[in-house]
Amino acid sequence: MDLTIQQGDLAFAVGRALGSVQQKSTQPLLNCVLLEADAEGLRVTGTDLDVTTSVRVPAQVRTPGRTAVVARHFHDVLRKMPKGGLTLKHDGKQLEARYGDGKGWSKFPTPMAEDFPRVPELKGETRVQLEGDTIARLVERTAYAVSEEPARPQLQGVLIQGDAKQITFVATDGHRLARAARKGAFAEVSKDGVIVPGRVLQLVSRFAQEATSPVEIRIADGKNHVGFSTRVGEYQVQVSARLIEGPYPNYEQVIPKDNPRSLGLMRTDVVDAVDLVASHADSNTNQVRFSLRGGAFAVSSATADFGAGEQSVDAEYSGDDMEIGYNARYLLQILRSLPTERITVRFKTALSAGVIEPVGALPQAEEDLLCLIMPLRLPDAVG
Amino acid sequence: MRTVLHVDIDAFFASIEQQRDPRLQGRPVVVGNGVIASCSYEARRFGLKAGMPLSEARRRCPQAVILDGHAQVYRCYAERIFEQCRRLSPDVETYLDEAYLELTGTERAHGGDLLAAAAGLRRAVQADTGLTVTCGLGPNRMLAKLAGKTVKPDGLAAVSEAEAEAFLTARPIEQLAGVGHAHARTLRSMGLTSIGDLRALPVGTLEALFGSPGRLLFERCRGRDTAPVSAREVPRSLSRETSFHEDTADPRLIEGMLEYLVGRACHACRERGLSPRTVAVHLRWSSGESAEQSRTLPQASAVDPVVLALARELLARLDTRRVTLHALGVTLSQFVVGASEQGALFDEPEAGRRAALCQALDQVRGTFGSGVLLSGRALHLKGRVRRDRYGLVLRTPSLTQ
Repeated sequence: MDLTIQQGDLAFAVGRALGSVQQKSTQPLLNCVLLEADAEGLRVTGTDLDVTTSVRVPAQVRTPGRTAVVARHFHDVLRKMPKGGLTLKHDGKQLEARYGDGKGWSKFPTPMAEDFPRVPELKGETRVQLEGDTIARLVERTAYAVSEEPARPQLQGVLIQGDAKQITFVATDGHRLARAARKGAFAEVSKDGVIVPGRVLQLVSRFAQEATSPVEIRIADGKNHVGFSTRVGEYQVQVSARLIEGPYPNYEQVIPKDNPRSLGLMRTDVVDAVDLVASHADSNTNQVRFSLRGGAFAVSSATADFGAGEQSVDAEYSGDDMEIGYNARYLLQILRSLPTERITVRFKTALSAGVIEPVGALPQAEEDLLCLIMPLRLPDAVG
Repeated sequence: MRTVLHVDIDAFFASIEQQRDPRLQGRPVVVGNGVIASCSYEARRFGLKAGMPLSEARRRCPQAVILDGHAQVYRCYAERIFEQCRRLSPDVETYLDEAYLELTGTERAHGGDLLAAAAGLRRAVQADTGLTVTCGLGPNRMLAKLAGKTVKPDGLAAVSEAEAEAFLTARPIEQLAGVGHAHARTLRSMGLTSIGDLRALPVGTLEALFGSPGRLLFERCRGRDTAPVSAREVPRSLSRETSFHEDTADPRLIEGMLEYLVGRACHACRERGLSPRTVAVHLRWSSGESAEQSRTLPQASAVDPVVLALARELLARLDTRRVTLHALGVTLSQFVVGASEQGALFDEPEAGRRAALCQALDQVRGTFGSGVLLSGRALHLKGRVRRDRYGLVLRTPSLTQ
């Protein structure tokens, strides 16, 4: 392998490929990125067997070839090299990088690249396209709600569903749920949808934000793999991953249809109040209490160790008096994900799911968002 | 000036047994299983003391009456005595068979004579329960307890701040709070035999010897102890354990007992408004070896089926040896106070029903006694373990919180 490449291009490629390289794998090759040079340029690939990121960047290739190099170390050194052209040469044993017009050089040991896992090829797939910023928003509005519990692997992913009218991203951990949608014809994705691991979408969201072309989502026919690919300027980025096997729980069934009590709030007010009051909450349960009394709304929390606090928040409420407990962490994540300043919270009882929604049109009119949160069963709660 | 009262129930379990069965009065009585948990003063004359193996107790005192004990009964007695204590002071810190009362600031309520108040408490306890308690008054917890120790049983003593130093000087080193067998051996090997001797050591030396507790010893040997008297609302852990009447390998009996113990432990949590986050199961085999494993629940919960599911998982992982089981226990810890259970989106109806069921079970047991209801696998224990109003009569009932 012998090529010339811009330091910035290579640093981008290795940095992004690093996103799917594990911190420390017991298999030495999985700590590496694979460099493959051909007539079209250089492709850098990192994988942890579940998720693979590969980035193609322009390079003048004199001799094609492939080699693996320890990812994190290579990236750390690479970032310190001067901007401008650098030449990479692999002689079968080590990878030599010459930089600064021949002023300096670094050599990296290279393990045998033959055994590097093959990047899965997506065959006979379904394809849909979404704008990068749309994907980033859909991920931002849902991915926080995925479960971290290994006991229910389906919930560790985001469900992506499509039909003739919209594409929907859904995430839940069984305690809260977020559903974000965008209008459009997405019947290819199917109503059953696919479950994409949350961390894959976090990776995708990172490059989707800077994408200069729409992101193409490809789902393999067997519904076991998904690929996301796009262009970032001259770079081609692709993330492919194993899908999580379903079935995903029937979430539509748990979205309340008739929550008669509606609480209108200004988002930043309630975020500040919950954040402050939660400083008095137990660090495990993060329990805060919503008190709705005589049309007034207050957030409070009390524990023996951290004292107590209460804050009134301006609100529109005209239902019966009630007390509801919530996990402040869940609440804040939801509130911070809402794009509008005015929001409503709709309840039925202190024990049933509350619906939190933006009021009015979202900044992107063709998008839609709904969040659910289950209360904490307060000792004095009435069902 | 600060005043703390230490109340210690004399030969607690043994005295209750003697009360309940007059034939035992005046005879050496031992309560315990495997080892002595408590023994009467008659038995102590033979050199018996708590923690001694029963085999040795039998050798030293063949005429001793050895009893399994009735944990629930003891708990009731203790609660009645602590109730009397709470009439003296709002700050009462209770243990199994002793209590600390913060009397500072209550002088006027007691007519300025705290010694008389303590004497009154002793009379009230005797009249109410027939048991004798030893009271010690002191300017802090440590001195109050030590003062009591000098007049046991059925005594009353006071140490004032001025007397503290002289009072402590000649006491053997083992009597200092924080000096156990190991520390005592170390100190005695250095020729330090009394609390007064310890004062010769600079704080740095004590810290080098015992780590940070060394600083505490430095203070305590001078009669200084600033620890407050505080009712611990949240116990560190809560356990229910028993040995089997006969070592067993019968999975139905083992799982039945696990379910029963989990039920009892969860009930105790709910009574105190606590939800545990960590569940531990420990086993002891007939070979004498033992093992313990613990896991954390995703959400704190005191609901039987939730805790049981995890406990069963732990049991399955632990019980891999082909040896009969001698004892089984469940420990719940890392409590969240007044925890409200997190609602669940997908199995909410079930979770709601479970919470309601637990509440109903607690009410039934509250009215008719714990023994009237047995759940699921615990039914396998029916007919194999004796049952009374308080539940199954376990072989080694847990006496701790």
